[in-house]
Amino acid sequence: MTFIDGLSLYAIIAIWSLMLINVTLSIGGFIYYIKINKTNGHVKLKEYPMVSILVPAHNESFVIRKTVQALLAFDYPKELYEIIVINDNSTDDSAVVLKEIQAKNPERKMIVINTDKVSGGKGKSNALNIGLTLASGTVLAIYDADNTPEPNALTLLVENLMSNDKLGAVIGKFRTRNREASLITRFVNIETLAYQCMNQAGRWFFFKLCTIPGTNFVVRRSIIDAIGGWDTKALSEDTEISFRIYRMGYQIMLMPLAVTWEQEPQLLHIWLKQRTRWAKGNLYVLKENFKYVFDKSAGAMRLDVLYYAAVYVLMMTSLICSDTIFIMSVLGFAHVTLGGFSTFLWIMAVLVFVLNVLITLAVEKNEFNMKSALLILLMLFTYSKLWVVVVLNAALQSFNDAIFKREVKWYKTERSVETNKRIGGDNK
Amino acid sequence: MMFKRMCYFVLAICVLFVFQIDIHAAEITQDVEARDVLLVYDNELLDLTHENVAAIADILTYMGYSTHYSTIKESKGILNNFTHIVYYHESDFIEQSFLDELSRLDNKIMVVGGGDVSSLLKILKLPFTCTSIESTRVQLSYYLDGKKEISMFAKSQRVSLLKGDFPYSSGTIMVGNQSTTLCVRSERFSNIAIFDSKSALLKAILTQQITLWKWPYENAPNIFAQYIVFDEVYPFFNTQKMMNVISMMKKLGVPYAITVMPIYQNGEYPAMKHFCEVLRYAQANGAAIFLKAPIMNTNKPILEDINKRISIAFTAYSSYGVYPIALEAPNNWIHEKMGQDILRRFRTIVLTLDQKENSWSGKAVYNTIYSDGHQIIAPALSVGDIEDNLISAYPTALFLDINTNIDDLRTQIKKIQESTVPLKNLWASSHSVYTEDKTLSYKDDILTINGEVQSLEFVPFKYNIEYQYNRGIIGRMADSFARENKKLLFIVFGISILFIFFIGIARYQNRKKFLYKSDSNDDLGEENRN
Repeated sequence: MTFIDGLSLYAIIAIWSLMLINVTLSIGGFIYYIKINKTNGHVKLKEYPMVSILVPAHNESFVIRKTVQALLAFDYPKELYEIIVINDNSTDDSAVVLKEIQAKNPERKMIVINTDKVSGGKGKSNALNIGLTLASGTVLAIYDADNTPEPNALTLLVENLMSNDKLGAVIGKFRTRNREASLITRFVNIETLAYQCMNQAGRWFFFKLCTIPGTNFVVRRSIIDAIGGWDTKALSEDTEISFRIYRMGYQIMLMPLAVTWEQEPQLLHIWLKQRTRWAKGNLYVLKENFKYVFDKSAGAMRLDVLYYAAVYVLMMTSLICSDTIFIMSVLGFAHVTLGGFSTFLWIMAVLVFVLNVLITLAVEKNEFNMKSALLILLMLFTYSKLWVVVVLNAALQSFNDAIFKREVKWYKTERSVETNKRIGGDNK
Repeated sequence: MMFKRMCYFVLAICVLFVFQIDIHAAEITQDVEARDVLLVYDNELLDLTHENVAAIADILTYMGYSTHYSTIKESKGILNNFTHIVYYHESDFIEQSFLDELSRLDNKIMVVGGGDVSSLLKILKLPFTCTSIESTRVQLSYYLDGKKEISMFAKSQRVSLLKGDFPYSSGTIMVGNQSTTLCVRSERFSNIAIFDSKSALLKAILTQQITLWKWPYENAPNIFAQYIVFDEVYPFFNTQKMMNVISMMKKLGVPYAITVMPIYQNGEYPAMKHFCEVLRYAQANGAAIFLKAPIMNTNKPILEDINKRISIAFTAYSSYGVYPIALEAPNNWIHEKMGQDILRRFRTIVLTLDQKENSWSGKAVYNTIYSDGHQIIAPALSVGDIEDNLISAYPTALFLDINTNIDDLRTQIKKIQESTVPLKNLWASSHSVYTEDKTLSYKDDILTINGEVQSLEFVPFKYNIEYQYNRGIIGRMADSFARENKKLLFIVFGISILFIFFIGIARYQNRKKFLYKSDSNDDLGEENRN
């Protein structure tokens, strides 16, 4: 067996293993979705808790009006929730927009905290910690500034959280508001449904594990207080906090009927910056938590750490191997002599990939069609390859940050004016 | 009186003592089935000596002797069960218990190798002397049946130099400036002073000496035939070249065999049909067809898989009227359980020497392959020219290359014809083959497949030369599909069916939910999406 054969074998085993993991998660996720879809998701409570909705916002004037209006439209008892917008060192007219909304809704409890570059501007975790100091609710709900949650989202999340003491947090589903805006948002829409929602559902179904997605989730105030707030060093505070919640022995549940719509990056360079931040954050969390793989007391969390390790290490290296071998073979520099390493094996892998994604689109309305199927194929050969670039870039940046002892720099996703006429903006 | 009592007492003790020894001797006699030959060897086998014992075991098997294997230590108490003992000996020392046991018996013992036999000569009361010397280079001279004297050099760790007046001696050896006889025999004792499995001549000498040693009559022992085999003829071979060779063999009137390589796919190609057409012509003109055994290319081959492959290959040929009557397999298969299991389906087996180390092991205790009742055709041995076969004590195969220039082949065949080892047509013997779905039987000139008589006469058949090879993208994909891991295919197929089923359920549920029933909760989402 040659060196190239060895690499090929590794790539085949790694890719097929990851594929089978995803298939298994999709099967679990699908069953969970079908079960949930037969209900309305509500669990009536005797007493509804006070909820503080935290919305960190930095230069969000393009989207913040729509977001706050959607939050004000929740069907949750009006007197039992407050909205705290942390206008974090914004240089645009966000403060004016927010003040205008406050003036128009004097009967509603809405707090706007305007920070300057001394106290704020240090990223989402810092903004959330600032908001936490003013929060009076026993339950915290977090929404990004580009979200338009559906009216029942908060009620569904809170009801499910409070009806089960084992739950530390409940997360909802997020969808792409501007999916028709560009090719990249179409890809993000499919990726979100397949790899964030369906995989989360599968992980919850099989292992009672979910990772907080950063928006559209509720968490017990007591937990956040106990862990001392959000880690300001973590670029993906959502994954980091999920792991800390696991370690406290709580579960995190997915309630897919609680939906929020969010704006995704429409331009490639913005997408690259956002995903690099996520990948850097996840690599940081993985580095910090990998030790728990060997700690029996960490419980089911160990599975999640392994899952992240598999996604980031196994998938990245196997994709690099297979792509390199493919290019070298085409150029005539390498030749795989391994028996059974053929085109058909790859065709089978593509088939499984496409079907796996299609199943997640099938459960959604207006997502399952021939256009989506073609997009999935296109996505496999373009968008998926960009993921390798993102992770490599993130790994390199993390390495440089560690070597040169650079402070972790928060990149705030730039918002766009939504040009897509088909997506609704106003929830009223 | 007292003296008399004392005498009775001493006598009684002596009788009891002798009786006890007999009881003890009876206890250590092992219950070993009587076989033709006992092959014993020194307790510690090194790599080289292992190869030599393995070669002797092979020779005894080829000669058709049921053989029991044992170290000197393990042979304690079983010597009495054998009339003939071959002792491979390379050391200075022979265990006293072995000598003691041997001294009480009268069976024949042949010592092979350069070990010191002085102690053995002593207990056999033979008036010879032995000096065992370490040596690396020995010059041999020997007369094989009807052949001129063959002289050559051989390498050996040790040589035993026996001196004396021997009733029978044959061949000479020269080590440095010392010269003595190579093979000697006196009463129940025989000795071959040197043995090396890598030397074809020494193996031939051993074979001849065993033949003479075992032959109970005054006249010369039987002579076994040799078979010309055109080895490893691949399907789709140049048929014109084959026809030239077949025509030549027909003209010379020489019996021969062709070993065809197994074929597992593409048997329907016109080239295969044409190849089989030529083979059928050869078969009709006296050529026997052998099937080459499949290559075991995995560390853990599965018996069922190999048998299945043989069945596919057998069917590929027999469906075109070509009937393989024997399996050509590596020699090691006769020592290995799986090999024996595969060979058991063929009455006639042709063995080839491969480059691998001989897998014989003393742990096998006896040559199991003997009990399977095969007609074994072993590889011929020659020194120099391939056609100069040294073996006539068991059936041998002379492997020739069909790619050789036709004139050179003719010269080779003529030389073989002149050999003292006769040629024989394999169609003169009975054969049987069992595969997964077919039983071939050949007896008294009648060949049957699954009980139905098959004609061996050549009748040309028609086939379409125009053939759709299916070599486009789809064809290549089909080939690829066939080669893939079936388990993975099964998994992918299962996943696909399950996912399509899931998609169906999801679409049904969505239609029910959104198309036929309005859900107020979804209004906002709908608004968002539209």
